[in-house]
Amino acid sequence: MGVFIEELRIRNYKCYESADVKLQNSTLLLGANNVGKTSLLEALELCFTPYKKISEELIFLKKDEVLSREKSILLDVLISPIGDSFDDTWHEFFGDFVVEGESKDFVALRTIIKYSAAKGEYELDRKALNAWPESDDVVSFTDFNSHSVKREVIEAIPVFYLDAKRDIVSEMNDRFSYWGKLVKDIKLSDDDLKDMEILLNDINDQIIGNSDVLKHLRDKLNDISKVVNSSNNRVEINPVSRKIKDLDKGMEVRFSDSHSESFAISNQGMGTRSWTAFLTLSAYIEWKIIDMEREGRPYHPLLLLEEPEAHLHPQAQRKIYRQMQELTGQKVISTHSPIIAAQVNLDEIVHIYKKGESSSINYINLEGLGDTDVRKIKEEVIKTRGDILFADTLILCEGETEDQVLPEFFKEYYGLEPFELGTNILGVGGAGKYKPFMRVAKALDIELFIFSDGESRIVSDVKKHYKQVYGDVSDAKIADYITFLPDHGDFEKYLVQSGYKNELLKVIDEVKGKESFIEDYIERNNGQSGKPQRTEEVCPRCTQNIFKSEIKDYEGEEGFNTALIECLGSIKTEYSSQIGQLILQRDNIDKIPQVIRNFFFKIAKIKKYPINAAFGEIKDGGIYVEFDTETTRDS
Amino acid sequence: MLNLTPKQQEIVEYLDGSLLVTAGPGSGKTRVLTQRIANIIEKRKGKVLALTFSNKAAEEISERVKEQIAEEDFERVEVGTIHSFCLDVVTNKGNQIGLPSGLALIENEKDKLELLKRSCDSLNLSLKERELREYYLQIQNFKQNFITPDLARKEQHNIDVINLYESYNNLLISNRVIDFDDILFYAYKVFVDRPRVAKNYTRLYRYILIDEAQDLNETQYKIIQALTRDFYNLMMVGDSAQSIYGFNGSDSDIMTKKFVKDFEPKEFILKENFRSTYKIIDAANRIQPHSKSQSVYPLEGVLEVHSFADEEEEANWITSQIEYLIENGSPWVENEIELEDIAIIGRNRYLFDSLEKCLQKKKLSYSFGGSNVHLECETIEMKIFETGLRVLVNPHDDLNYSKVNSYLSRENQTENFLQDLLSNREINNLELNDEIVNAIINAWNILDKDGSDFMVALNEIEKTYLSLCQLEENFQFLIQNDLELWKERWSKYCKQSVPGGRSLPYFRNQVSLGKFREDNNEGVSLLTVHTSKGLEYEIVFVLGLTQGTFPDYRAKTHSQKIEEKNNMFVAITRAKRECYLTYPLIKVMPWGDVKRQQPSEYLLFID
Repeated sequence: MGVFIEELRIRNYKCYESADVKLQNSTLLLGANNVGKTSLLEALELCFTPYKKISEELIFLKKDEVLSREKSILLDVLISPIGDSFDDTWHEFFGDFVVEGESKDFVALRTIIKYSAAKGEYELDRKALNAWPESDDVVSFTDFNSHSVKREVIEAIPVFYLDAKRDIVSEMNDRFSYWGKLVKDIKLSDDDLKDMEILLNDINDQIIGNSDVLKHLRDKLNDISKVVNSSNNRVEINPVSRKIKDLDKGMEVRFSDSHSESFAISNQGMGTRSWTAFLTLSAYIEWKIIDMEREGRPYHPLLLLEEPEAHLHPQAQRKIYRQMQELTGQKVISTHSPIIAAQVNLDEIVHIYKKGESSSINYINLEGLGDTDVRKIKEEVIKTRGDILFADTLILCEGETEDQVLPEFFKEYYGLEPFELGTNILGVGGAGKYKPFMRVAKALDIELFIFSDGESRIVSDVKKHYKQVYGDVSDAKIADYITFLPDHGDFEKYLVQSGYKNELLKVIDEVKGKESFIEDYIERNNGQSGKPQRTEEVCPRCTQNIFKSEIKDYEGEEGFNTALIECLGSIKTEYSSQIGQLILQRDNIDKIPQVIRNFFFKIAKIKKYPINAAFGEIKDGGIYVEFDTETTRDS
Repeated sequence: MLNLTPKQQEIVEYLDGSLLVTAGPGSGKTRVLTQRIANIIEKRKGKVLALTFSNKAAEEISERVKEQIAEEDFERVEVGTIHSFCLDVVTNKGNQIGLPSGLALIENEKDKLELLKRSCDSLNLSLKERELREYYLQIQNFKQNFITPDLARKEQHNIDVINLYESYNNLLISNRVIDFDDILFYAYKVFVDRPRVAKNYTRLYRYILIDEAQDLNETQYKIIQALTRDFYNLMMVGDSAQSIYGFNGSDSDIMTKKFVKDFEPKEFILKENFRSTYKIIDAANRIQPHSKSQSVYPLEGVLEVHSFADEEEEANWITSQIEYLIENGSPWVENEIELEDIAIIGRNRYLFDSLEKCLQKKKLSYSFGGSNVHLECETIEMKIFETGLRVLVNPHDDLNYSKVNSYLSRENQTENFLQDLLSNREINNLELNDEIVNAIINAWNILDKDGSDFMVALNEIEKTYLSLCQLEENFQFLIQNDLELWKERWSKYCKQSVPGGRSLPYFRNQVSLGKFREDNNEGVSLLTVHTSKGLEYEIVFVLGLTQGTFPDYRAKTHSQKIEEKNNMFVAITRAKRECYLTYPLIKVMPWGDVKRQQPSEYLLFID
């Protein structure tokens, strides 16, 4: 039975004006660069570091705000027992700080950074709170415990911080790094120490004795005694350290495998060096825990791990995450790695983003969701599409083709790659599978646009799901965010009907390596019976749709179109990758199909994206004007 | 450990379960108590809570425990008065019964009456001064017996009193202050309404000890009961023969009967008196035959009774006897005798007039030890400073804010008292020194920014008054002393706290509880029986032993008479080696009459 840090509340710290963060036993911080992941970790570190240098730079300021002496930083942490009340050791340790909450006991600590007029600088103060106030009351709350927060209380929650810039090579030269702290005293018995120092002396003497160069150098250096005029001065050269306690300065780590000579760690790549730094931290944590257990004091290690995936290849990223999970203590991990994100539980994800001038926090809200929904989000979104967690905007489409062509058209339309605008384009792999993505996008404040097929069943499903997730929004708003292909069709049907036949035929010929492939196809298959297809007819007995094999009829233009679409279906993968490029070769506005232009225009208007001059313009005052085919011809 | 008698050792070793120790005078009560605490710390887990009735006793126990255990273990021992413990409970857990935060203690009787008057105004109740005091006593009585206004209403007391009681309580809370009686009441309410709080306290403090348990009153015992539900490691130490606080509602039956019934404690009796010589113990036993105090010293010591023509002669003799003892020592005292080894005990504090004159004439220094008087600043300027402090720690304190304004002869603002206090420099009272008042306002501003800068704030005032050259000498003397008083208090507080852990509100409340009262123990101690409690001296004079004075003429009922006898017992047993009992044959009354006196009936037991 132990404790865990349940919540951190930040007021006026760095990029956070006000944020409440619920923490789990393991918490993953996701977010783009520069949104405040590191600041959040630092805030937590500050809460549990007895002394820390502080300055006014840490205080959140709005744009153009002048720092007033009255403004201070508040960092509140809620420490909860596992269970309803603290075990005896923690209870005694926290003593008077234990607050009897509605359902369980807790301890609340506040770290305050405020200006001290007497000292003329900012100083750090800590208080225990007699209650856990409502979030809105945090700033005005002053019901402090009358006992002061002693250093031991802070030290019972030791912080271990794994820096994103970690490098074992520089750590080995730093006495205050985890490496340095571990090897500072290697704890040899006095007897061993003596024996080994004799051996070290021996080795030194032997090296000097056998090396003419070193002997010569030493003799020359000994000329110094002539200068300082004292017969007792003697210069010594130590090829290796004579003192065990100095060994830490010259330690080396080497890697080798069965095939090769060993290499010093400094010759290894950054991946290995970074991972070694992580393993050193693990070793240090375990060592400290043994120490603390021996002292019989309660402790709860808090591990703050910044971008553990740095420099590691995907397999290694999976592995390092597992190794992190095995460490004792509560973890808060910041990451940019979809691979790591894919391994966590949904409730462990904290999403950080900029909202106006301050950074904000949100979660994937699982409230009211059934197990199936949760599993879907986990399986269909996080595991396979972890990268969208890092997106600002998400464009969902139905299938493979759209997934391939939309990015190409996107680049043409906006003049920028999707990622440059923080946009991810994602095929969800089938009709109606948008819902779990909607949930995630809604939860993480990712702006969501959908480019969907237009079958009436799909249209009504998608609208229904959208309303379930986003609340009762108007059809007009839905139209801004969701575009359905016209005439109840899919993308292929749209292309066929909108004058892109030539391009489609060209692709088929190219893929099949044959000219006029479609004519052959029609000749071969016309009048044959095809695969059974679902019909709208319903069986009166089992109330299921009846499947029928229809005789293929490729007569006339309609028949030709049907054949064409069938053909495309059989070569989907190859065709998808080429059709976009082919269409883009046109030299008029139709090099992007109109339905996509309209879709992109709506996105541009909402997201304030730039538009390629061929497709529209942004007038003064940010008014967007879309060009249609006619306007282009006129100009 | 120091050598203990087998009986004492047995108590020290008796760790788990309830325990009642009846400890006669000089029986090593404090030693047993402190060694048992040390033993618990060594052999058991958890913390120990020791509750006393005076700050002095708390300090002594605390210091003696410190000598016996390792420094890092000392935080496992909490020693304090029942009031300071309860105030801590109310401060930190009050929010759980809906009390506002930052409550300050109001200890001044005048302030209380002022709030009562305001309550009367709001109720349109016009009372004469005498009625008001009467009502106040009734309210106090309700509070001391944990009777809420609602409860009082059911019992159909005077409706005006109950309305006043309710509105006074509301006014206290809206001013964010509580009075002395509230401390116990609210602590009791916390334990009863929120049993988990009580449970958590007893999970933390797994051993609770109560010193001088014969002085417990009903309400204090109720608090202990509410605190210790399903808890048995409770020890009470006391001596019913020394129970002298009956006027405060204390009742030694609580210890000897109720506690025994409720907790079924293991009982021990310590009779051996290691303090006093044979003759003194013998006299004490004649007063209280059932106390069976046993002498351990082979020394005979001195116990003499002397009568004198009048109080002046009595005082002269005591003074010359003191001079004699200082010069020649005593055969019963190994070392030289210092003035500090001598106490003069009287039944009440008006008996010392002639004696004080004599001591002054002979230039013998003396002090009134264990004084219970709350010290106040002498100069108006420093009174303003002190009153302003209360507004600083409690910006809702309407009462003290108004007081500052009335000192300065200026108008009250309707809101934002603190802001006005810190920035308003209007001074209309011509008797005040403007510069010093301005320095005081500066000092408040310093404290408002950081309450732990108390010394800086005091220096601000001191600096200003030192720079003024044309101050009247008497004023200089007084303000210097006022400043010293606060410096002394603050430095005492600093010794008990760590940098970074100091807060002005906590300090202010501790001052109200009398925590930092400067004990001036120089010279001969002049004590009333009540202030002599728990103290010991080589030489003790008990003066004014006449019928009507000691025993007091007001002791009429059976229990009052028993208690009065206890008073005599306590007075005598303060003496270690020599004890002189004196009385005058005539007494000059303040209005000039001369009255013949009869020797105290107690002297009949002794002669």
